[in-house]
Amino acid sequence: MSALKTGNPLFRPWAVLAGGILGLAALVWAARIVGRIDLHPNSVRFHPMIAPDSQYEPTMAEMRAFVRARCRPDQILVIVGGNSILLGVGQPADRVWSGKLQELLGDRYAVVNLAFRGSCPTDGGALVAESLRDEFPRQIYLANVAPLQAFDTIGIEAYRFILFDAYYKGLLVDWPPRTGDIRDYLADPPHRAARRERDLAARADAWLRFRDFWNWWSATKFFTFATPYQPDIKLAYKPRASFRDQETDYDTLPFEQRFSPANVAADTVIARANSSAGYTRSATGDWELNRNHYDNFLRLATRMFPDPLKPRTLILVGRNSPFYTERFEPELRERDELAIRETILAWEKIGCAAMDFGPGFAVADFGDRTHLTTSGGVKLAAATAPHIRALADKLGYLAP
Amino acid sequence: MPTALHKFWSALPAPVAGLLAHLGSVAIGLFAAFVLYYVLYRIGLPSKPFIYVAF
Repeated sequence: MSALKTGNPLFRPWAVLAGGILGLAALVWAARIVGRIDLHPNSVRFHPMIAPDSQYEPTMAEMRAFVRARCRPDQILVIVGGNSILLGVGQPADRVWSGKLQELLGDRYAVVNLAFRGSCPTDGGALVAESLRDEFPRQIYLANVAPLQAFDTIGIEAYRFILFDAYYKGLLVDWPPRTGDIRDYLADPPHRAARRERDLAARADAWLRFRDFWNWWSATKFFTFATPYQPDIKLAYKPRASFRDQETDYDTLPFEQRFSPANVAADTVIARANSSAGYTRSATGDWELNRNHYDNFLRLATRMFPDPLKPRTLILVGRNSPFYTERFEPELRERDELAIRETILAWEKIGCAAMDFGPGFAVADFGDRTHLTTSGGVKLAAATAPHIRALADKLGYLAP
Repeated sequence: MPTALHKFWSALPAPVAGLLAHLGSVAIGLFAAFVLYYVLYRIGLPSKPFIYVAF
């Protein structure tokens, strides 16, 4: 008797369903295992080929594994967050400022650079540090801001995938301002449908962990689609972990290229406006704090980090290159200095530690208006290290 | 179904055909899970790279 004549169908719906459930369960199990692996053992930071620049979105598990692989339990964890300045744009991986900071702080500390291009202080690095608060209770989080600049609790759009990842996996402390901001973000009428999709995807991922699995696959096997960031088709599918950190070296890039007339014209406008919103000229010619702007800054800054995490947060207030500021009128430089001092005081009032890069930077220390060259990175590390040690001491991390 | 495959399938004893059908169906389910798992990941990624502009 033939199989077909006896009514043996080729497909068994229940077996297909069982296979589907079994397959998903196996993938989720595998994702939980590979999520604990450091996928980037040779990287000192999340360079563009393992960052959203090239449509690669690191997961919380991946970044937490990155930290665990670089910090022993007996070390004080120093997580560097913030934007391209602290990422070390313009500084090759072997000369990045956070590496110099590690050298200065010594083996008692472990410095991990989780800054991203265009990211803000409440993005990835902050969330990873927060999620590791119990595992690494002796931790310091650094991030940078411009004078009188503050951000939403939910960061910027390009890195919000990290927030949702952390939020729906229950890795964050309960911080009502952030919960409210997430609710408002999802309910914003013009974007409600698209954001709802993202919300659902993050909720699904909290159960199924598909992002951890496919990031492991993309980093170690092959990347699954071509990205405009890597137009060479031979390289487009290469495992992302096999790419080296090829950050531009500002020390070798000609000055004329970095400070081309077009760049200088655009950056002069930005540099001159650095602290303009925060001050108005009084009748006597003095700078007076713009109370509305300041209050708004203070309101945002107060909400940025959960209260319990503020004392271990060190805010670095950035400066513009003297290439620009030296050309300013004295009163403009005076306004910038006032704004830096006011910003540091405000962050201290909020409960964070704060410092500025310091006035000792020369034109050669900057690769462009804001990013530092190797020498600038060395100076930033030297300026920051004593503040980290002082904060570690204040928080009782140095007690035997 | 192609003729050769139909002949082969028809010639199989019922228990063997049943076992193969079950195994094949499970394999299809596993493959569907793998595809679904990838689609969930892929649709969550942005369609364009993040273009960094210094500010």
